[in-house]
Amino acid sequence: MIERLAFRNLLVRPWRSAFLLFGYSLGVAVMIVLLSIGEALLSQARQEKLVGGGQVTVLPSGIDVEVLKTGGLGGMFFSIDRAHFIYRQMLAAPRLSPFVAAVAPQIEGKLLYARTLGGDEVAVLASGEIPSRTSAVDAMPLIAAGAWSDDALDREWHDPAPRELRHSIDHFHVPPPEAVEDPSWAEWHYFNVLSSDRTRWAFIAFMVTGEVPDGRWGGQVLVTLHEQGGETRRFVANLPPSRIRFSTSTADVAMGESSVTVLADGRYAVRARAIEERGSRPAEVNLVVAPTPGVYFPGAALTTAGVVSGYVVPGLRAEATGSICVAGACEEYRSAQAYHDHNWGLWRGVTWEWGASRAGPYTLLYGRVQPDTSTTAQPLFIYVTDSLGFLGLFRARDIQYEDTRMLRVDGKTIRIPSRGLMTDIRGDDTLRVELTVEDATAMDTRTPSGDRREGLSAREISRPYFIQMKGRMRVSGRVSGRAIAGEGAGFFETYR
Amino acid sequence: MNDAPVVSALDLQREYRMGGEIVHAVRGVTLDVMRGDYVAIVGPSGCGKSTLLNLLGGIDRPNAGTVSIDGARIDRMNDREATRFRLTRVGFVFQRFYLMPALTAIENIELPMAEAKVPSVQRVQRARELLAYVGLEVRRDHRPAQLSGGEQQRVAIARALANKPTLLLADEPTGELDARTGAEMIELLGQVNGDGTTIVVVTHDEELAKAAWRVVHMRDGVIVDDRRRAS
Repeated sequence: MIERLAFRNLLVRPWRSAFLLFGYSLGVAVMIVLLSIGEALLSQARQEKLVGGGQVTVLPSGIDVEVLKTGGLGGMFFSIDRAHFIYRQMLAAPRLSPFVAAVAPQIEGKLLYARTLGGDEVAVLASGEIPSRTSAVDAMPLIAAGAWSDDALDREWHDPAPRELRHSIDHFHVPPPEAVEDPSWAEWHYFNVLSSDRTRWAFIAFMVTGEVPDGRWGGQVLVTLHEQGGETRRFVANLPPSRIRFSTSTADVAMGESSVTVLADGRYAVRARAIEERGSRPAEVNLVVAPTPGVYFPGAALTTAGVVSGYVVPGLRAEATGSICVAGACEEYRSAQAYHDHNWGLWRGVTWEWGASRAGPYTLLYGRVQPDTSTTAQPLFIYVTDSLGFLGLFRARDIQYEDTRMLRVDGKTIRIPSRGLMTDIRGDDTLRVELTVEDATAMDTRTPSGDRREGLSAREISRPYFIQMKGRMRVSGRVSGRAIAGEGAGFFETYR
Repeated sequence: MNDAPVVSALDLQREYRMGGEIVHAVRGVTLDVMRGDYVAIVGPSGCGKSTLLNLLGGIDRPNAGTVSIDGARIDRMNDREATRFRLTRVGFVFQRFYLMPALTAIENIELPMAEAKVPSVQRVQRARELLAYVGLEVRRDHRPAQLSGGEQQRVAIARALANKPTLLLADEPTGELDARTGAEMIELLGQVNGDGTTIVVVTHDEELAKAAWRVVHMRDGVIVDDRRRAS
C-alpha cells in the first residue's frame, strides 16, 4: 500500500515528485557526506593516537585537546611547567598506580625552522616522545625502518636512578645575565641534622658567592652548631675560586678540603672542614645523608622585580649517619633526622618565611620569599608529602605568630616567635599547621657576620634580624578525602 | 451503553512551555466515557478541549494523571506501542480530513487496514462496505480533489472506522463544512454511534453538540459542566 502511495504520488504530481525526489536525494547525499564527516570526527575523537594515546590527556590550563588534533593555532607553542614533577610525583607516582597503568610525556609537534649549512631555512615539525612510554599508551607510530626505543636520556627522564635525580635537580647554576654583575649572587647546598634527643643540631652550608664566574667570587663553608639553651658556635672556611669546583650538571661541589658528593646510590657524602669563627678550634663534619625516596621538592625559580632566586629540596626527609667533631671531640649520628636543600639567586634585601618539618608520617615544607620592593605578601606555599611522595599543596595567607620569646642579639633584646599557626582551605581539603618554638638563634643581617654584600649604608631592611628556630610542628586536616594528623620536629626561619 | 468505561481519564494535566511562559492547557480533568456513549466536548477557543482529545486518544501525553482505553494505560505506552494501539483501537476524524491526495477514496479507506496487515481481499471488501455505509460507493475511485468537502469527510469517517475501533475521536468534524453538509455529517456520526461506536467529539457546532448524548463544557483547562441529554 505504501508503495502504491509512493508510485501514485509520482504519477499524480510528476514534477513535484521529481523535484522532491531530487531534493530528497540531494538531502540524503548531503546527509551521507555529513554523516561521513561526523563519523570521521567521531573516529578521530576516539582515535587515541591522535592525542598521544592513552585515555586521559593532560594539557596546560586553557589549551583545548582539539588544538592537538587539528594542529590549530599555527602550531601553538606550549609546554607543561614542571613536567618532570607532574610525571614522577603525580601521574606516574605510586599513589596513582592503582588507577594509572602508563603515562607518556610528549611534546607535540611544533613548527621550527632549521637553517641549512647553505643558509636556507626549512620548516620542520619537531616533537618529543619517550618510545617506551608512548608504546605503553598504545600510540606507537608506524616505524618504516630501524627501531624506536629508549636511549639513556629517555630512561633517565622517566625513571631516573636516585643519583641521576639528585644531579638533575641539585646542580649548580651560573648567574643569569641580570645577575652576573651582582655581588649579592649566592648559591649553596644546605644540610641540617638533628640529634635523636632533639637537643643538638647542626647547619652545614657550602656557599658559592659573588660575581660568578668572572668577577670577585669565592666560596664559604659554614658549620653552625647549637645545643638547646646554649651558645651558637659558628665554624667558617673561606676559599678562593682556585680551590672551588662546582658543576652546572651535577650536585657535586668541592671547596678545599670540604665537599659534597653524590654517591652511586644517591646518598650525599658531606665532608666539611672549618675553623671556629671566634677561636681556633677546628670542626670536622663527616656525614652521609640519605634522602627518603620520593620525598623531595622539585624546585621553583623566581625571576621578577629584580629578584632572581631558586630553591630545590632534594632531601626533604632524610637521615644522616656519621660524626661531627670539634677539636677532636666527636658526636656520632645514627639515622638522625636530616634535611637538604639547594638555593641560588640574588638576596639583596630579600626576607623569607621558611620551614621544613616532619609531622608523624608526613613531611611538610612551607615558604615565601619577600623581595624588599614588594609591599604585599604573597600567600605561603605549604607542600605536604608522605611516604608516597607529593600529597598536596596548600596556600596559607600568612603565619599568625605569637612573639612571646625574648632573645639577645649583639647586646639587644628582641621578641621572637614562640608559636605560629597556618591554616588553609582548598575545596574539600583543609590544613592546620601549628608551630611550637623550642629554641632559636638570631643574627643581625646588618653586621659583618650577617653581611649579604648589600653594603651597610645601603641597607634599609625593615626586619633586619634573621631568626632560625627549632621546634615542633603539629599537622591536622584532610587531604583528598583522607584525614591527616601528625607531629614532629623541624626547623623554621623568619625575620624580625 | 453498558457500565464499563471505554475511556477513563483521571486528573489529567498538560502544560506547554511557550517561550518563557508555561501554559496550563489541561488542569486536572477527570472523565469517564462509557461504552457506546456519544460525548461532545465544547467550550471557547483555547479552553483545552483539543488538548484533552489528544490526550484521550494517546496522540499526546499528560504531564500528570492517567488515561486508559479499555483498561490499557496509554499514558504509559511508548511511541511505538501507542501508534500500534491507536491504529486498531482508536479512529480519528479531523477538521481538515487529511486524506491522501494520490489515493482514491477506497484506497484511502484501505490504508489503515493495510498498515494493520489486513489481507488485501478482506480490506477491499471492508472498504467497499464502508464506502456504502457513508454513501459514497459511486465515488470509490475518485481522488480527494474530485470530492466535495462533505464527501471527503465521509471518506475520512469511513477511514477512521476501517479497523473497527473501540473509540472514534473527532476534532471539529464539521468545521470545514457548510451547514447542509454539516448536518449530513452530524447525521452520519449519529448513525455511527447508533451502530455501537463510542464517539467523543470536540466542537463549536451547537447542532453537533446537541446530537451528542452527553455534553462536557470546558473552560480554562477544567471541566465546568458535564450534562447528559435527557433521552
